[in-house]
Amino acid sequence: MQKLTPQLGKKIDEILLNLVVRAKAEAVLLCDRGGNIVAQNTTERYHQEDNIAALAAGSFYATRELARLIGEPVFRYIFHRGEKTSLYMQTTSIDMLVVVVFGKDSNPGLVKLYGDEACAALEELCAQNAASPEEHSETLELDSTKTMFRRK
Amino acid sequence: MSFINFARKEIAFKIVYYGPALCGKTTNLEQIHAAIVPESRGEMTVLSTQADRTLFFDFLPLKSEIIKGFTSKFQLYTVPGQTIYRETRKLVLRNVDGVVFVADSQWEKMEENAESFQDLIDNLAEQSVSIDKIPYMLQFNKRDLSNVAPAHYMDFMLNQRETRVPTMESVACNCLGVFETLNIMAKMILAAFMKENNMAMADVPDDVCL
Repeated sequence: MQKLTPQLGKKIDEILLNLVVRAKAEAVLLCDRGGNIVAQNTTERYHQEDNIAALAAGSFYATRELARLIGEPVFRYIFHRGEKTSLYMQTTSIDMLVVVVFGKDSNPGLVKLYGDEACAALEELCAQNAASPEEHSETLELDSTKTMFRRK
Repeated sequence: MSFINFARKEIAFKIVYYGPALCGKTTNLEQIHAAIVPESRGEMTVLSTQADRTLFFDFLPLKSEIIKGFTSKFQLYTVPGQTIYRETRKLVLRNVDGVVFVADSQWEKMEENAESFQDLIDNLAEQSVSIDKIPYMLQFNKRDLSNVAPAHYMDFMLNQRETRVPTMESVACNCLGVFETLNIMAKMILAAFMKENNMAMADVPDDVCL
């Protein structure tokens, strides 16, 4: 089971905010290998972040097999260029994926430059956390008044 | 693998619908998407070929408030059933929390069911996951057709491991057994999660998932 504490989450949010501002991006998602959103920062509202994260993680990790076939362990970056909006994905050594959505205000070079910096900062932060993990204790409790999945 | 995000107050679970080609995995998700109360669902993403065969995966995010103070996100995936897409199935199974194995009830599909079930066991094992260690259940689909095998035969064929798992008969295209399957699976995942977090099982009311 993976856990993210509020303290660590706040530090990750700062890194993502920095990336959004400096790279002039519209949205940044940090996803785990299962396609879960760990943190995000968006300047414009994207209503289907979960779907974007699931597809991004799926497509990114599918390229690992492609990489293997041409003798590479992994592709670090993938870039999809669109007419108005483009997508940049970068893997990190902590097995997380940074997804950046950007429009015409930015360009791939800028996104890659600050994407590299953000990934390095995330890797350092996680290394620090692994060396001295932050404690977080919070009781989880079921809400017996709630039902799960009902039909209309 | 469930993911607790204390920062965003979210808990994420991944459910994969697995089974042979054309057994009704995508139909399960389509029926849930069409019939569930709107506040519980997100948008469904379908990646299919022109012939409506799943190419990569289908994805449907659902949410519940079953754990106090947290949004519980249940992310539903299907895999492509065709034999050639084994690598894709392995990819979709990464970090899975629970599996619904959808079996086609037609007599002529029994061999494909058995092959697909073995494929599931093998693909999980490659990720160092034993099928006996994760929540899974069987759904016997297409029970409305005339040439179906008896449920007890399918149970004998697919449910003979050390721990017997829940089964559900269904007609997914008519939404029969679809929500029952989803709620049984969600309850199994929740029970495993509670055990891992030392939450008391007595906390689960009987009707929590019904």
